[in-house]
Amino acid sequence: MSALARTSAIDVVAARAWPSSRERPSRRRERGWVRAAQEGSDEAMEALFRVHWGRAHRAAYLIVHDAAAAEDIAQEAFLAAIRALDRFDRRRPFGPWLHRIVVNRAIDWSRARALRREVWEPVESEAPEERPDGWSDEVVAALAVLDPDQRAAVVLRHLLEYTPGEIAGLLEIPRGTVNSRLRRALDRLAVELEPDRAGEPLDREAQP
Amino acid sequence: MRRKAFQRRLREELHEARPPHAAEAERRAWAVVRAAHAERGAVRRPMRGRRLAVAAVTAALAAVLALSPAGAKVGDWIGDVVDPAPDATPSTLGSLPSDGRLLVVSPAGPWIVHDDGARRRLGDFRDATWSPGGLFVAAARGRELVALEPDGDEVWARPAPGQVSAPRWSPDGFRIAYRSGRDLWIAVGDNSGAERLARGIGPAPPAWRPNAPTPGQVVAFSSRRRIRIVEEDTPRLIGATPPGPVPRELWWTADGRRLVAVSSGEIRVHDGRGRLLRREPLPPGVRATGSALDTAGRRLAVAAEETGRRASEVLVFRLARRRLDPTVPPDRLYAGPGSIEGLTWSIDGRVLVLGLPEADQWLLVRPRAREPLREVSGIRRKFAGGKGTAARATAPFPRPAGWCYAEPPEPSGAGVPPCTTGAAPAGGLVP
Repeated sequence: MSALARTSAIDVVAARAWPSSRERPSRRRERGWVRAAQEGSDEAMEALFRVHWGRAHRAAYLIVHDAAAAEDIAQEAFLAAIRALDRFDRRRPFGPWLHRIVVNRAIDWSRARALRREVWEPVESEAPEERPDGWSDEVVAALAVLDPDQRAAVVLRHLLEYTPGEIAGLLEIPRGTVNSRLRRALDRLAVELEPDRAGEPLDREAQP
Repeated sequence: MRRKAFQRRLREELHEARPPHAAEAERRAWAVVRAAHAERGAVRRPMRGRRLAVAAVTAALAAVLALSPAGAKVGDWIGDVVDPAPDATPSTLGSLPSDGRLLVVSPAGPWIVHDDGARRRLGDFRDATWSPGGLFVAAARGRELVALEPDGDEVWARPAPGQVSAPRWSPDGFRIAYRSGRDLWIAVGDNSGAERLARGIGPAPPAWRPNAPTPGQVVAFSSRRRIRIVEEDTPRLIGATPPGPVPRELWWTADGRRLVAVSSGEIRVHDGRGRLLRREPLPPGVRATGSALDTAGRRLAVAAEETGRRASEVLVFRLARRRLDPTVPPDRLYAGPGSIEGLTWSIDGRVLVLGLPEADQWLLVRPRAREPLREVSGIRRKFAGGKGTAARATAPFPRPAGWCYAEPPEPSGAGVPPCTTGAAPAGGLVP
């Protein structure tokens, strides 16, 4: 076992306890995992998976509102990452690269589903069948009224914590479009989540 | 104040969110991912060191080439080294001299050439173009517009009333403009609809404006002797150019502020509403047969045929901030016998590919070095895909149609430029 693989094996123990945490590994540590994964280390791959799976899966779910689809999308994103691993530039962080794939696929899936429903199915509730403890029913229901682009903007901004400029880069759209999607989404969410304050505008803030 | 409190609450709720049965999903996903990673390790080519060595040698030779007046000869030799004769390794093209993937349109259908030279035929389609981020390809199949994944998987197909040609994807990725017969149609990127935008448009493929200041996407197309600029969602006419020669190609600069129209005898630069800013006649005795604008929107390469002789040249015009720079004459990048079919910039703007049908070659040129970097021979055979007719000298020449990133593009704060689009067929589009 190489020194790098040993490091990864140690790291992976910590990474297994990571999924629900908001903490992220240092850039240096993540670069080490990517390098080791490129060289074939299963431990390093697992470390990357454990750290990034939770956010990727959650982001997909919040956009598509379908547990099976979210699992498929997040899984497919990891498989795409593995296929492109040899070409990955280690100077770049792994997370944004993965999140771009997840979010774009989730948007595509949501649009395709909206179309299928419009053509073939009666509109059905988008609420999940089961909601474990800790999950906010209200926020899920409120997100469901947004269109997929707005949901993606909210998830990227408020779950994955990208700036509007970074979101513009991830989605390949102008920053002004990101800001307007976020503004409209938050206004709509405010109406849904705080109906007693409907009509009272949220004050504006400068978007970085 | 209220917004900040609301956002804080929203953030906390989102961070607490867990999809149903998350633990089981994670366990299943890891099993799949681990298997895929193990399989990758098993099939990974043990060629990395060799490829790096070849790349290093190629880079060193390219440097020599840039400095040496005998560049063309050295270029031939590099071609021999990096691009073995088709008989020896018919399945490889040789590595591309720039990162990313090259889209090629041949009589056998579109192909994608990867930077390591591996190539894949997408199927029986006639015309093709990249989506802005290179995640998809839009292609024409008779009276159908088809969206494909770069590995050839068909995402959707949409029937059209006429023969489909010249698909062009909008910068936001949500629309595809295409010709159906002689009409201009716009399809939604997820295939949820399509509408005819204009009847009887000219031969130039439609051109989407990047960074449109309007809520909807803006497309320019030629109509008789004018170019019309339309916001397609509404649809609303934003502007029209004064009457002029019929353009064969239209390009927007990267900032979306200038529209460049290339007709057979001149180049015209218009502003975003169609007002004419400058005319630049081509040198006497030549007519433009194709053009390509680099991703930065600063260099316009024009393929021109010398009338009365069977010879062609490639001129590179520099586009200054407001206009074609009148103080800088165009660079004559290449001149030689025969015609030129296909002209495409690499995604980083360092390499220009031009097709030479009579020589059955592509020439890969570094404009800054002003020397050919590589010649790739036997192009018809390489892109025949087992179809004998496609390999014949009378068949249309396989043309480079656009360059894109290696998948997927990596994000940056400043965003990423879109994939490039190559010149339209020199013989014009089939109505």
